[in-house]
Amino acid sequence: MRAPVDNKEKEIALTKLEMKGVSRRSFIKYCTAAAAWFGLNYYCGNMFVEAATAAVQKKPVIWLQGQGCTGCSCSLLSSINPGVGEVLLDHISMRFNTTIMSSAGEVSAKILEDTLKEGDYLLVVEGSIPTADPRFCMVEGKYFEELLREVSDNAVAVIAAGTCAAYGGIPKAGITGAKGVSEIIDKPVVNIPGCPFNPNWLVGTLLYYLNFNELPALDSEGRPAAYFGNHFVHDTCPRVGYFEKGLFLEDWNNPDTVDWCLLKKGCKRPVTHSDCNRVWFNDGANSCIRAGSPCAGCVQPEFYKDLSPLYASPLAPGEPELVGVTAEQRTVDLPSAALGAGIVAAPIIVNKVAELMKKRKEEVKDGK
Amino acid sequence: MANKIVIDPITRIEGHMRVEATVENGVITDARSVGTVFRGLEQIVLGKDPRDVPYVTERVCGV
Repeated sequence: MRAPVDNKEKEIALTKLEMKGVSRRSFIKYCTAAAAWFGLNYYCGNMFVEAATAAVQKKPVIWLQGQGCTGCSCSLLSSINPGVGEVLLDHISMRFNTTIMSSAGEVSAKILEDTLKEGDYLLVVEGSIPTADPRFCMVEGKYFEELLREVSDNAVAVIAAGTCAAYGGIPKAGITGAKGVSEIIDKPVVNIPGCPFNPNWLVGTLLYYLNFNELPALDSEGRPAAYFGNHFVHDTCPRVGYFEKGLFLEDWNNPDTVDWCLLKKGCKRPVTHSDCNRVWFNDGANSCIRAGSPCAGCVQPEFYKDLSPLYASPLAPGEPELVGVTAEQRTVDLPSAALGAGIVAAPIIVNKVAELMKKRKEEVKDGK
Repeated sequence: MANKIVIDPITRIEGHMRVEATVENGVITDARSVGTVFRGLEQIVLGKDPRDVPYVTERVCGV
């Protein structure tokens, strides 16, 4: 557990945040929401506030980039209005991030060196690590893999941000032997996958760590269970009602069916675990499925290699058609057996689709 | 007197970049810039469903 916070320091930190356009109220609200998401009591929100203010301009963060596209940095940094998370992360003394730092070359290398000597820093990694040949990614004239090992040695916590850093992501499908951070280093790593990730996932995890000095509960894939393992994209899908009725979008050009279930357009939500449909992206503007795009399953370790093709139906020709409970059945038989059937039918269908996806993944692996 | 300047990493860009320049009497006589990361996105999209290609290629640069 961290040391208690001096009230004067807390006031200074809150004023600093206020000067950046984050009001005291919205900051406390954000921290309380982050605590609530981890299932903590509401007073933990205040503890998160204290932990965050204690870390302002003190806790150094090193942000390394490997084989990535900087999309995760941008997801964090280029929101329309600077969000609470963005300002906070900016203030937790971001020492080394090549996308946003003003110094370059020797000066930035010196900053990295000094921070390494100082110790007690958080390490965030974006982008995968090539293993087929270390020359596929070079930073400061060094192999990225070597740099990562060197920097992670003294890091108090290592966070793999984005699917590339967590599991290999899109580069894993290529020839560079791209791997996730946890496959390279021996330390415990928190995976925050997503292509790109939602900044709330990263900032919430950091808040939890700053307060309790330990990593949050992780699911089987090394992700914070509060954001990933405890959720199932299918359960909170805004189109799940159409799914239950068996109404699937078949033709993108038909204006009458735009809101229908996207499963036959390759939606990967039956195998995807995240809270996307609850929290939404871009400061809560929207989420993929609400915006009309099938879920690509980007937070899953199988992404992208084993989930492609992304926009093809999971049903092979000749497979039995998916059925739901039709509107007629509902109105005629309500509230008798049909409704019961609907409740039972939906999970069976989801399991069926997940099974089909798994089967095809194995077929791809076997080279069929 | 030739003087070689190496700037690595170049910051405020997407990805990794290295610039080497040779300066003689205040004039740059030779310079080269190197992109120091390779992901093989071209090979990844080979033989894939064409509808996947925009999804992958938009990840070339996320800035």
